[in-house]
Amino acid sequence: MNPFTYKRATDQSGAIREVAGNANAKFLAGGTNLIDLMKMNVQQPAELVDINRLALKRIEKTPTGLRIGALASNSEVATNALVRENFPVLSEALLAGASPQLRNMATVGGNLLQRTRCYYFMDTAFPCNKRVPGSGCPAIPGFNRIHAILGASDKCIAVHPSDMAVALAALDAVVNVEGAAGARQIPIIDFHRLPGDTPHVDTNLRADELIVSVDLPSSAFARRSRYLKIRDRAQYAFALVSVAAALDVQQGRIGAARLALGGVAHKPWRALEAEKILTGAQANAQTFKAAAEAVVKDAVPQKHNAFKIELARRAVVRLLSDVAGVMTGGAA
Amino acid sequence: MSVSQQSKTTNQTKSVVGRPLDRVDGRLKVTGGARFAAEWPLENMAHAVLLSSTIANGRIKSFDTSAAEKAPGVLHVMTHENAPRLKPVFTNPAEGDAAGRRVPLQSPVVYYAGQYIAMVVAETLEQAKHAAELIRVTYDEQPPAADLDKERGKAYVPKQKVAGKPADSLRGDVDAGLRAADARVDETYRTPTEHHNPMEPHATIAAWDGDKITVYDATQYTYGVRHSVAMSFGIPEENVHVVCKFTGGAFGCKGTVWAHVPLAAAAARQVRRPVKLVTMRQQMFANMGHRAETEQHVTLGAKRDGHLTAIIHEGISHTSVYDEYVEPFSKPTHMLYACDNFKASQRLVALNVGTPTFMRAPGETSGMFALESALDELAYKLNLDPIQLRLINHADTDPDEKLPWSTKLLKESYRVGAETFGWSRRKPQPASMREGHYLVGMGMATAVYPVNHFPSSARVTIRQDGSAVAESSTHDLGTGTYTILTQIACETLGLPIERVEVIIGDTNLPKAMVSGGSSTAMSVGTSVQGAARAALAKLVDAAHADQRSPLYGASADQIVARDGRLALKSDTTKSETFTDILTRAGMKEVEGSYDTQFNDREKKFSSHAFGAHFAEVRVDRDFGEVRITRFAGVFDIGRALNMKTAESQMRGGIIMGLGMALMEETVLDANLGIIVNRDLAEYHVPVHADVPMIDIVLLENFDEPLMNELQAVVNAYAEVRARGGRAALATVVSVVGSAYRRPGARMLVTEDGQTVGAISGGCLERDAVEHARQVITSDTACVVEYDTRGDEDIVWGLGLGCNGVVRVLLESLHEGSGGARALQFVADCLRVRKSGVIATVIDAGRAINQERGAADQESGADRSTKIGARLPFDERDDEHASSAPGGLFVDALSPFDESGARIREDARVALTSGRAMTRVYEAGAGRTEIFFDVICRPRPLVVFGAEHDAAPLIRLAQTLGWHVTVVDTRARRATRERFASADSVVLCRAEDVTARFTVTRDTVAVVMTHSYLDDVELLRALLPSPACYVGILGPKQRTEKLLAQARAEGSWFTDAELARLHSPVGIDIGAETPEEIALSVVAEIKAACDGRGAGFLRDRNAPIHDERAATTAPPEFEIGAHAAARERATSVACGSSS
Repeated sequence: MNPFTYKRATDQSGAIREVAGNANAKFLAGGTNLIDLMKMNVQQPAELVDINRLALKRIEKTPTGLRIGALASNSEVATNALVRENFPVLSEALLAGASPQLRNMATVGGNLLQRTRCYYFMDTAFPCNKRVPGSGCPAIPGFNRIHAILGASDKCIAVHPSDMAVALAALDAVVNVEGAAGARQIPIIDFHRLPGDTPHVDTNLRADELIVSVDLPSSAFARRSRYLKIRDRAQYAFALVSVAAALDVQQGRIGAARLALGGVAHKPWRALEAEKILTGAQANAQTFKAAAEAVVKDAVPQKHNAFKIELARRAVVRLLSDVAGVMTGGAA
Repeated sequence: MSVSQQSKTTNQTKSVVGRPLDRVDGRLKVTGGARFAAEWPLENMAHAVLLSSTIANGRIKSFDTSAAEKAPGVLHVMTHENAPRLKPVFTNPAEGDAAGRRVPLQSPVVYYAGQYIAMVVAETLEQAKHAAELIRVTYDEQPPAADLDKERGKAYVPKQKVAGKPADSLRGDVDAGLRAADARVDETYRTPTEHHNPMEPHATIAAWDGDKITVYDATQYTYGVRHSVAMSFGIPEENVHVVCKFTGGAFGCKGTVWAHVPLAAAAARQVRRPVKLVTMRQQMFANMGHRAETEQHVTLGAKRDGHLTAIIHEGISHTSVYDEYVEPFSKPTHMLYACDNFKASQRLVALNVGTPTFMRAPGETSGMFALESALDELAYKLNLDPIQLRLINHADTDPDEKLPWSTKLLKESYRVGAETFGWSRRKPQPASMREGHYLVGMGMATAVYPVNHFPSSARVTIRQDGSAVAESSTHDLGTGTYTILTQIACETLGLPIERVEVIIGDTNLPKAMVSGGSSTAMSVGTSVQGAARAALAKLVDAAHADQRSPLYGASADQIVARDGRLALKSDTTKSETFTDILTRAGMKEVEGSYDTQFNDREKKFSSHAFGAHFAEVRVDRDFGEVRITRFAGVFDIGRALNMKTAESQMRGGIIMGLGMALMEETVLDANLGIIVNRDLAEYHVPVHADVPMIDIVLLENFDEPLMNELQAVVNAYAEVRARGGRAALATVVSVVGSAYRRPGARMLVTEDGQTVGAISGGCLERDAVEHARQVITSDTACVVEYDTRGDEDIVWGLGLGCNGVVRVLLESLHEGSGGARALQFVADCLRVRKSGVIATVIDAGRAINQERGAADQESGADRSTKIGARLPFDERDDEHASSAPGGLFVDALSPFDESGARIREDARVALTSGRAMTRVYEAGAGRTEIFFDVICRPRPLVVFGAEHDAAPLIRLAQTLGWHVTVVDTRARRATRERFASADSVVLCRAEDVTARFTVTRDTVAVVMTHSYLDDVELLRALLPSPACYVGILGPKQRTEKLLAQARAEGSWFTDAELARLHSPVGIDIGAETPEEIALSVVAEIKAACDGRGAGFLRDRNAPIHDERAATTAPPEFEIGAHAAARERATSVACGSSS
């Protein structure tokens, strides 16, 4: 654990100025991930700017949907009536993650920025391209049961651990950020990055930018959305594979579809090709199987995680069937 | 159980031991008042942090500690280059170099990743941690041995034994066994490395004072820490003081002294300040042992009928490259099933990991998984039920030790478990049970664990203020040691819970061994009991010697401790407080000590706890996610000292087993040899959502009759006989006037004066004991008469308002004597709950003797009388006498043929009337007085349902002397704890009632399950049964619905059967509360069974008491009718008892 300074921000622009002025400064919100990583010496910020006093907690209706403040806790969002009614997948995803104590502390902004749970990233005894660029990736020859099957590179096969972000990906969420250079909006699909040659950069957020809120556009498919998470124990475990699905089904035909997966890639994996297959098709087992095939078409297994490909396929079929209210008799 | 304890449980219904007492330390734990090792607030404390190796195999080339040494707050940086030389600690004499290699920071060699290679001591924890991260290390790295599969070729024979057995064991001829087999199973099973992960991390605070040191340590073994620290530093053990008041979980990993302990001590010596060292969770994965990975191969051979012809259990497990530990997975296979041909073989593979160690049930956990899985495979192959296969191969004696079991309720565990769990609903065909997306499976396995005990000592002090303290160096790992030791001390000392303090976890206290292997309750509990008795004996001595004490002159065996007082057993009004005794004696306190030793070399039994586990598992058929939905565990663990903590232990073990079976797995990176999932986020243990409802049944609680006095006497005599002791039986045979006890009251007196049962309210016992000891010595029988009328009241010091003459038969008991036969008959009656009459000669005149044959002359004994001779009659066979072999009584009356017939007739009268009586028979010059004692069959009441409203009914029925059985289909409710007064508590499904019970003509059944479906089943079973009364709770409409449903399911009831149905149950007394309802129900049963109308007696135009009794038992034969005319002699007749 490195020595660091701590400052409590009282206003938003002051907080942004503070972080912009120090390359080694980081915003501190719930701290449920950052503090752990600091204790394990995985991250060594020289300065923490505590933003918990900023007025970024509101969950409010907008003309087009819902705006969730970046400091709203995961618990607040999960239990919010508007969220549950209009974006059930988000509530389900949040409740599928962590534990009640952690959800009470963790914030929406922080959840988007949580780091991978790759064992090799979390332990400084190992080399890791994400932690120490260029040091190598021991996960590729090592134990990679929890690692990526989609979008990985030969530098990094880590996966993004968030459940919430997978739901947001299926809801066409937009992340509102503010930095020294002003405000901008980042669609969720562009927020996280694939590892490529720079696995140490998780997101497209600039160092001085602060997430202030997340916008959720209302839609018929958002109201009919679910989350399915498959894990090694019943609670308090990261997803081996998770799926967020949103469908607008009219008279057995799919009007609009959104499909995103967690636990399979370096970012919440939006399955655009599968969505194309679903859109306009009959809501039946055949359609769902075709969509599932499209999801894993380019999947590349590692030594210990080939099971994820079949698991993702079955999870997609199961969840799409559930959301559409169609009995498929199983994917196997 | 000794005789004295038995009398205690009989007399004191509120036994402290066994009660589900809340943890006495519970409040401290939840309020933060319980001080764990890392929480001792010492002055001027420095903090140490250990640096772990990042390679798994090699040597340290160099350190750069310069930045660390300059970092703020740093007091010292220790590496192998500057560490003090610590001496090796030998834990067994044979380990040689291994002991040396265990000593930390002594060489640059790295054996495993995570090994401590440096230590930083600083003013604060954060400073130490930061500085440790600044140390730069260069290694000469070698590829590690980190993969069991790759290293298996180097497997070797362990140097040490495997749980006390040779690594290669053979019994019989396994090849021949396999050749004789009709079916064979060959399976390989793998279990992963697993970690203990107690909540509390390992932590040590070390504080030196000159060459003396105090160590606060999180441990299972304070004396072990003391020994180890003394050895490391070459100082006498007395110089090391170890304190551990609470241990926050251990599961075996705190039974060994790991490297951080001497390092904390070395740091404290170096900086000359107290040093605190708390290990990080991540470090615990590398440095505190673990359950080793295993690969096991099990071969079973069996006949078509399921009998095992061969068992082979072999395989490998890993150890470290520098030390040896064998995970003894073949251990339970040696003894679990009956099989003549058995072979076990274990090998070790050395890996670059820390040394494994014992973890919760070492051997059983991994080994039983393999053995029991193989048995299931065999059951499937043979098309046998898994339980059936296990029953077929049940070992009636220990096949390995060739000894009988001390106790083994394994078959009962299977049966109760199957019923509790609903095993009969299982379908053995794979994937035949489905629910939605889930495949549902049911499985079971045998549980076994040896009884372990270690020598241990304790001290108990009774203080002048009437409180007491029990002390031992033992530990509370969260298991409840504080609580059960408190209970044991309280029960022994007769003190309430709040007056007894238990102090443990300190080497200044009497020595206890490691708290491991489930040994503490038995070992330390015995010591505390012994010490409490020793302290009490000193208190008794003080009272005994003091003329001012009401207990003056009383010996220890005449005194009982109760409610903070010592009292005379025979007259508890003579008592005084502990405080008074000590104050008068001028003593501040009395102290007793006890060293428990176990003689295992001459053991005559093989002692194990047995049990059976039942699980219902759901597997998502698409995803393979496994979830446990139901679990039941039935265990035969002996006596549970505290129901709550005992059940908690069982439940915790099951949860841990569930974790180990489904999710726990420590993964080593096969290339680098570093554990990848070394925290609780990635090493998965069960969370609440993974744990289903777990039904625990402890068999000591099951179907165990609450002992009434008669049963206690019978049991006590059986025990006296078993240990070859001697005893006398005192029986009240007649009472004239008023007396506390009625004829038939019995008391057993042992040769050392211990008593079970009573013959009076406490006034006659003392004298009767003296007489009893005389008859034991002379092996005779006699009748003693106590006259408590008039002036003699003073002699006996009664003052109880009794005013009568009591005659007591005293007889020495031995094999075949009249008394022994009577007790045997009583035991038979109690066992099968039948009525009976015993005719006893209590006086015989000389005339009989003259008619005697040659047999008496041969014996040379004075056969002037046959006092104590018996003739038993039971309800179904009043001709019992004729079949009694060589009946003494028949001999005695042989000259009086017509008397024999009269005696039988009178016995029948006594049996019918249910009343004891005495009669005199005269023939010629002979005269014989006979006492007819009736053993009444208690009214059998069966209460179906175990909701709260059953309790008052049971209590009331019990008060009336009825035999009460509680039957419930829900295991969690029908526990002995909830229905302490019931004679038996039975778990049974409604549809199995007729199979499980013998319902007779006098059975009374009350149905109050509150379950519609259960009630239907019960009505279907009970109405056609011979039961005389069937009551059912609930309104008439509900009962009609039940009957309609029963008829719809094919039942058909006669009018006579329906006439037995009482619904709504009870008489009309306006009952509302459960207690009132109980009164109403019991009254109805009594009235219905006695053929009475249950109205107001004032409206009755007949005598209150039934005439039947008067006619069948004429007044002249009533109790004591003859004795009224007797003289006031004390001893009236004596003679040989056989």
